[in-house]
Amino acid sequence: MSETSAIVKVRSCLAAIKPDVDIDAVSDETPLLEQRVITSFDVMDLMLHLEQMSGLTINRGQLVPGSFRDIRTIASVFLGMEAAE
Amino acid sequence: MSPIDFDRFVKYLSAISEEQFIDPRHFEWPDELDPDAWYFTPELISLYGSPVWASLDERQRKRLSFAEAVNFFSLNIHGEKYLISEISRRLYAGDDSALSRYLLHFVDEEARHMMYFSGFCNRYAGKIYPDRTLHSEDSGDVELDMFVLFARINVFEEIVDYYNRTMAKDERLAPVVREINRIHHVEELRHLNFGRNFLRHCLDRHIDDWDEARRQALRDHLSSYLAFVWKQYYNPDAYQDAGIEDAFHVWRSVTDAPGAIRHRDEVNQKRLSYLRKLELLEAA
Repeated sequence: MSETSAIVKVRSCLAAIKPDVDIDAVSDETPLLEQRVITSFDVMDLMLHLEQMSGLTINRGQLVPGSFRDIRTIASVFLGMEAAE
Repeated sequence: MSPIDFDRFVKYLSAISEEQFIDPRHFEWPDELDPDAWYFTPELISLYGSPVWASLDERQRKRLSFAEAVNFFSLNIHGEKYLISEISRRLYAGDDSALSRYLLHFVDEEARHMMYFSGFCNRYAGKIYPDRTLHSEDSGDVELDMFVLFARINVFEEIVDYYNRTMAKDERLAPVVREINRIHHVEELRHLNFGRNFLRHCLDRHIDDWDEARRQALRDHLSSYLAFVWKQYYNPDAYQDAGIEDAFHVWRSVTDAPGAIRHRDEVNQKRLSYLRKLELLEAA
């Protein structure tokens, strides 16, 4: 999946689970858990949205706090984002 | 509320655990399940009262009841795995050997419960639904983290026990699920009793050290945790396995439906009054 496409999808999932947060104001590198954009309690919803959007089943081994560091990391870990040339 | 002799209390619980050991090897598993039976109390099924529920015939509802039982047992397995790992790494960390001795029983009982839950899921569904939970890291304050852990365990177990107790008594259900719920209920009563008294004991010792900001942070954390626990009762995988179309969108619409909110409020009201009394949850 291309970088742009994966990041758009992650943003769309975040907007669905956090309707009260302006996701456009969050950069791709904003630390999501640290800045409390999401909490660990939101991860289950986020996983279900990512699975639905990608058709992939999340591997339990991916479920560590580091996988949710920021939008770019989520796109890379869960949606197989290919880095831009 | 007068404080109890906590040391004596945990020794008493250890003695009961040793006397009333339930051996999972003696559990009788039927070779196969009756496809016409209920496996989950209909009124507790997450879609009960929704437009989707109204559209299902009885056979489809029973199929959904089986998937909901697998989800309920799966969420228990994942909850108990977390609990066992978190309690185990705190064993014998301080000088309270009576407490650690009881916690060994606690962990042992939770491990045996997983045998019933996984036995059902693997035998009859061929799977356990995946764990999509991420648990937060410790704050670094040992006593506070232990307190938060048991407050969370208490929230989780109070809700589970409401379901266990209801389903153990529900004569409409297949005997195998009634029995699993009954066994879990019997042993969880001790865990609930321990959890309530442990929280009270911690509060008696530390409440004066915790300022209002910390207490409010605890209340906020537990409210979020309570909402998180409830989310696990709604699983699109179960809806899909029950043959419900567009399971993901059904899942998205059902958790905030008025009937679902009412159900959660009723259970919270019945089972979490103790935590409200301790001012660990906001008043209902």
